[in-house]
Amino acid sequence: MQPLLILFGAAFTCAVCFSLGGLLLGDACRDTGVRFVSGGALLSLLVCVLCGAGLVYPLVFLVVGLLAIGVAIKVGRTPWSARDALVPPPEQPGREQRVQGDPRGPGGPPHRVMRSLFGIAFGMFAVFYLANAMAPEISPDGAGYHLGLVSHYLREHGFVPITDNLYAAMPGGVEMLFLFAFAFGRHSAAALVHLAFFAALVWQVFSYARRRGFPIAGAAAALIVFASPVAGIDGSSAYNDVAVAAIAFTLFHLLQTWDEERNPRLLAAIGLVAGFAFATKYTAWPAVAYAVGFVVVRDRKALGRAVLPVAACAAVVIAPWLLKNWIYLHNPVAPFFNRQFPNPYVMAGFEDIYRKMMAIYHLKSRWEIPMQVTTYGSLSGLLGPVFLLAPLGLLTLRRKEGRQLWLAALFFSLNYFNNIAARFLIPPMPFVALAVALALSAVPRLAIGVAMLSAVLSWPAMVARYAHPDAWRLLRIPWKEALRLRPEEGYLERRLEYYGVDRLIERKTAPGSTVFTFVPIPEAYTSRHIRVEYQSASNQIAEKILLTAAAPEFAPTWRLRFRFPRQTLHGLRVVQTNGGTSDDTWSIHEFRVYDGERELTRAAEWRLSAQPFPWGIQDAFDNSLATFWLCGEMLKPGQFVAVDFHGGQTADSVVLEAAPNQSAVRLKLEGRVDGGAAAGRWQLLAAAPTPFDAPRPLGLRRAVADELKRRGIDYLLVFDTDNGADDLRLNADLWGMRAVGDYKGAKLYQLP
Amino acid sequence: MALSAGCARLPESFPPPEQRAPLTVPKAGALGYFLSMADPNADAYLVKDVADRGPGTWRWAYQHPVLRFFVPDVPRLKFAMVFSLPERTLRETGPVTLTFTVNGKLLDRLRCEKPGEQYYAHDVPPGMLRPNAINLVAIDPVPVWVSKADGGRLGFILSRAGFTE
Repeated sequence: MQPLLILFGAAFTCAVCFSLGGLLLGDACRDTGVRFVSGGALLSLLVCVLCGAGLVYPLVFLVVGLLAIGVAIKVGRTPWSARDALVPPPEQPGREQRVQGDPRGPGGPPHRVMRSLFGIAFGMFAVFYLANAMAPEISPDGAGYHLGLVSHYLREHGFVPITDNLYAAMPGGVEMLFLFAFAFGRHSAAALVHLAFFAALVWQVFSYARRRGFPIAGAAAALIVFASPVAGIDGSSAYNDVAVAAIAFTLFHLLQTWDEERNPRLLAAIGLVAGFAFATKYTAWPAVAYAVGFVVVRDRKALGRAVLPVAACAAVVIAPWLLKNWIYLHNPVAPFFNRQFPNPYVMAGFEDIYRKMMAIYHLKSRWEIPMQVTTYGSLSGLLGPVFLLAPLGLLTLRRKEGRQLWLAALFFSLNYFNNIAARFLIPPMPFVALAVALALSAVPRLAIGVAMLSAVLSWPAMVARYAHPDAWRLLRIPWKEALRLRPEEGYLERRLEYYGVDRLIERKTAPGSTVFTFVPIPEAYTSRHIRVEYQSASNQIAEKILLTAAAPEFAPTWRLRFRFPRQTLHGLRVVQTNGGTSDDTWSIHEFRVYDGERELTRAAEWRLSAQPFPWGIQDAFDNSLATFWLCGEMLKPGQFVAVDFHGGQTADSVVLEAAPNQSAVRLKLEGRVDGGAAAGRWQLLAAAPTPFDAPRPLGLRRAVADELKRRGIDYLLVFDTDNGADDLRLNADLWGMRAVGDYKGAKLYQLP
Repeated sequence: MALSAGCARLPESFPPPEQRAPLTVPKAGALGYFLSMADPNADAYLVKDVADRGPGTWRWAYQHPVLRFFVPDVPRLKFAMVFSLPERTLRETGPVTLTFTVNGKLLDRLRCEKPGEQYYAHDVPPGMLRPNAINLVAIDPVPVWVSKADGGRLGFILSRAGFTE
């Protein structure tokens, strides 16, 4: 029964995409792949609207889907009415003969032997991918957040504010289609929808080339793309990179078709598909610039009027995602650009570190990238060694098709150096593959030979001979698991890291519980609310609160005393002056103001502020050593914490209570004096503090546990290697926590 | 939309929040449960056989050093100490054994064979401490280093000591 539900979920989603695509494009474009992807853009928008309206129910999806298919049948826009796209286009009198030479060469009909060879190669990879896509989802990101969020939306029947998971802020265009399929066939149905995008991509590489008179180059490029190991594993998992590639190629295909035929009906599809690219992945934003720029340049004579429907349709698809982030996270492009759109959910300092990490990973130099992404695969997979031939594709720059392919490749690789993982090269890959195949097809057998070589080199047994063992790739054909002849449970236990932790959480925690963890776990297989340490500002603060009692360097045992002549002040502020290149940040557990031995009572009219990250400033004035204000950025001169007394207060010292893990911080104290020439201005009171130690407060562990509970955390999932794991294990009674279960080095603690 | 969202300003200021009940920390100038030699009030913790002065963060402990602490009523405490044995004295004395007694009862013995700074911590059995009262801790080093010049006896260098959780 489960395989049937999986197949139904995926097939129904694809049928709705085809139908909507047919309705959108009519006769303007009959290509199956273009219709599927264009329809996908519409369905994604529709599901997004349903999410916003809280109408995410399988029944609603069924009705909407049947309605779309019904209307398409009625007006004759079904997938099968596009079958004529599968046969070669008729000869067009007067059309330029694009390629000269061998009648069976670039422009001629493919040879029967060649067809058989390509058929076998495509068939083998198709079975390989189909089995893997239909098997239980085991990809890290797919089982982590892509389907974790999809599953969350289905449980909640739509969008809900998620402020503690930065992945929820990423646009989810393709995840909307996953959601549609997931509602019927769960995880594997979503992966099969992604595989359908892969098929649409590969088909279009071939069909585009064939329509332009170079079917051998098209077939060769399609096989090179289809066999690519990273595209294979990505496209058969619930990821979205292959979908972005399919959307990018569809956009290219539509633009080329519009350029030739100037059918205005194509403009809406162009806009929707360009918007769909952005709505699927931020890194695909150049799609919009590419579409708008292309239409403006090609439509110069009409003063670029054609650009209006393109831009409007793109905006319709993009707007809901920006709007959602603006409403929920105060940042339309969350989780990025947090300096431009400051918000309490993602710290700018985290964004800096994240960007820095993604830009280089573990590499020593960017010169390592070509071999890593094509052959070794340590950057999240490999495109395939054949892509080392990419420079050959530059030979096609002398012809129009080649220039168009390279222009598209350039646009879709504009963002690559922001994240150098191999899968971020999947969107430009088809254009490069086609350019290379086109160049090689001057000698047709060479193009075919290279495509076959690529297929051989990409087969799992061969990849193991040259790639690094950690290369992300498919390993085997799990057909028994795909057909559920073997139970899911065992396969997931063996192949999906931390799946057992999910089961532990499901067994030991109450529904609706929140679990905090340092390590991401497969959220798609648990219904509990998982908060991962790095995924939001509130989670990072929770982590540091935990470490306050678990790691000595985070304990509030450092004191900084600023002394100054006793006087009446209207405000005080501590200013950070170190502008070094250190990666340090700073924090304050308590900011206390004294007049002699007496601490000034924090009056209701006081006003507290901080720059940057003002949201946590109250935690430095709450009399709790378990909480703190965290700067949220690396040290920069001018960062400050201030208190405005809203009236005069007599004081002679300030003591900051802090953790000793911030040796690079340099602070001075300024005050706003009462009267005189300097009245109202910040004046230096103490150029530097006197540091001293204080004992670790007693009851700190219990106070921290209570604070985490107050912040909505019910359970801690702690792995043996996590910072503080030993302290929790040895002193669970002092924390007031109870270990409720463990699984292979992971312990689950219930907070008091 | 992005531009207009950017017009949103940072929150300017916040009032002080509700004040929490404080954790147990020693009051400045009063006897507490933990001694740091950097504390200006360090002398209050020293009962006998610890140098009157030091460079600020540590002092010599002699043959029978005794410290005192005011220990609050908390369920489970350990005695912790940061100390060091200089290479020069250890070379002459050989391994040094520290004997810890709390209120006259034996807590632990520690054999030190390596020079340099060390961290020691040991659980204090329930009943050995007098809650909400002054408690005495003696740390006897054997053997001590004896100066050939003036017969002075040096045990170990003490930086921090006291009760912790």
